[in-house]
Amino acid sequence: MNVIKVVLKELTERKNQLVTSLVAIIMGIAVIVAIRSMTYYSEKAIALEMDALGANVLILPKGVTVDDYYRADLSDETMPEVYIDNILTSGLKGVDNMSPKLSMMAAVSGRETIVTGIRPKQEFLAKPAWEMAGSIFETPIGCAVPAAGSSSKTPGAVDRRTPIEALPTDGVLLGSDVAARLGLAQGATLTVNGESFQVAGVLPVSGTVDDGRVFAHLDAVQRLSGQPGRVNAIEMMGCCQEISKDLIAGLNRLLPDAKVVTIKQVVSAQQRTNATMRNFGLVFLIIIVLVGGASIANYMFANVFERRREVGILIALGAGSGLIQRIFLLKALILGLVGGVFGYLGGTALAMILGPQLAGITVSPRAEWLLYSVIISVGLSLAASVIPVYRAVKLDPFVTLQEV
Amino acid sequence: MIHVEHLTREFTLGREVVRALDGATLEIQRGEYVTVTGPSGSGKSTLLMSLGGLLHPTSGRVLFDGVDIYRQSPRLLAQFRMKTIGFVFQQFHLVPYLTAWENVALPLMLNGNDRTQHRQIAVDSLKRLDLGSRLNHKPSQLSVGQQQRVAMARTLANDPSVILADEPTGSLDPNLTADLLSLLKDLNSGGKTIVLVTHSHEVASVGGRRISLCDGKILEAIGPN
Repeated sequence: MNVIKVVLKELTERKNQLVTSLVAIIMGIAVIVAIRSMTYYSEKAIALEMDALGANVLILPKGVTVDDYYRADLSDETMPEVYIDNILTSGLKGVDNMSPKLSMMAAVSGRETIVTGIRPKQEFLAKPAWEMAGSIFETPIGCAVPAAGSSSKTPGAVDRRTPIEALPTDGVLLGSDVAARLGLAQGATLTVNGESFQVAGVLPVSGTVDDGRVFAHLDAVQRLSGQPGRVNAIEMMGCCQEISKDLIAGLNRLLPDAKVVTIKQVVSAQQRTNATMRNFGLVFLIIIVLVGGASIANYMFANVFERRREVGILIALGAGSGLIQRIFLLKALILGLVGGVFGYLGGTALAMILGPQLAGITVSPRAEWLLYSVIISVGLSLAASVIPVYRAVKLDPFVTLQEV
Repeated sequence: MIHVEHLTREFTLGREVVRALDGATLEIQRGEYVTVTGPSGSGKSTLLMSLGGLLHPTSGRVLFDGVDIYRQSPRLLAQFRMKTIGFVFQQFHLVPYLTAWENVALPLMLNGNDRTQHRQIAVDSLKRLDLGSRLNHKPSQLSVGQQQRVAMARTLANDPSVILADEPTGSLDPNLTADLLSLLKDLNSGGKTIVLVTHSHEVASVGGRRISLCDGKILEAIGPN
């Protein structure tokens, strides 16, 4: 005989009560896990959508002003393209993608037009809007959110990315206005400063200065402008949390001859959205903890009341208050452990089923939340049991043993 | 052995203060068999629980071998109940979800006895009381007489020197009453001190000394029968 055996016997004696109280705990923890799982993956999905807003950091030559963001890369000042390698090898955290640019005014089929040199793949990632629709993206895009910066490709995305990723040094992409003005379509030929290029595609309307530009391979523009290895802007997608920390300061330290500018609206939108999601999850957590705690406390109060005569017997047999405390706290511990494990399993299953249906997100089990579930469940059970246990210890054995 | 001095115990019921014991003074010698009688509400059970360390007095003292038991720490008072006192209740108060042998083993567990021996000691006790075939039965599966014997085995598990019996025959038929009184007599003959509370004058007559209570006061202490 030992205390654990006595407690287990008592718990299994009234299975209906045990099941009822366990279901209450399991449901509480399951709801916590399900909501947390869905908010976690929602946060990730929203973070990806926020990334889709595009670049949020601009690196420019030191003397360039940024009165007009969209024209900031049209200055005469340039900087080395090798800055990108410097950043990549620096170990700075939070750099999702970098897109170097070199712009020049050139005669495009006899008309003065801005020609911007890009590294096709990086430019594609920095401008998700280019992916969404348009004449060169013939495969329907569906409802999926583009995972900017991700190396994984959906089957539909392969076709859309191919023209930009594979843009040859003798190919160009036309902004929608330029294409209309010159009357050119995919496959046509044009000249830039007398050199022949083939139109690889026409970009969708973006509502920005991009519509009036011709995009060529960076190598070609560097060659045409006589500035090999030079760029006049690097657009960067930085992870917003890292921007809040030390990404910008790190870039300033790394590139003292460059100007690092954040696009505050984009960054603050990302930060606000993430904070909203975190607060949303926290509010649910607090509500569930309160409701779950009240449920457990209610069970423990009822249990102490029902077991008051046994408490009286134990005291008459010589049990001290410490043993009475241990018995009830052990009960709470067992309920918490079982509730935590099964609550985690139930909550994860619930989130995996409801996540895709309600929020359009895919939820995967997260093993570390099993630990959190058990900690929350046990902590909640023990905390909710403090007052009932105190009452058990304070029971008057004379009164409880006199009751018929 | 037990010396009760001016023991008073009051209970508050709503706004009313009820004095269950009113300055009771009493001396019980080692090995005595004392019966306590009196009408309902006269303070019999209050006196018994006070003697057993279960009810702190409002005033007065309970001395056991010269030690005021209620001046001890809660831990020592619990040890006093565990090692010295054995309670017998009218309702038996067996733990419903434990089997017969587990009920008997409870005091052994509390006393910190070797865990591996709990079952053997409990089984031996129950076999002595002719309950060898009911070891794994729960209280609800036992007859009233069997429940009383399990309760007695539990009371005796830690070999207490004092047995405090609160209306122990109240739920028993005449045969079972006779068996229980016989068992108590044997225990008394073996040196244990018995204090038995009862309504019944017949049951009270088996003791060596009889105390009568009324309105919390000891009216008379009648000498050996």
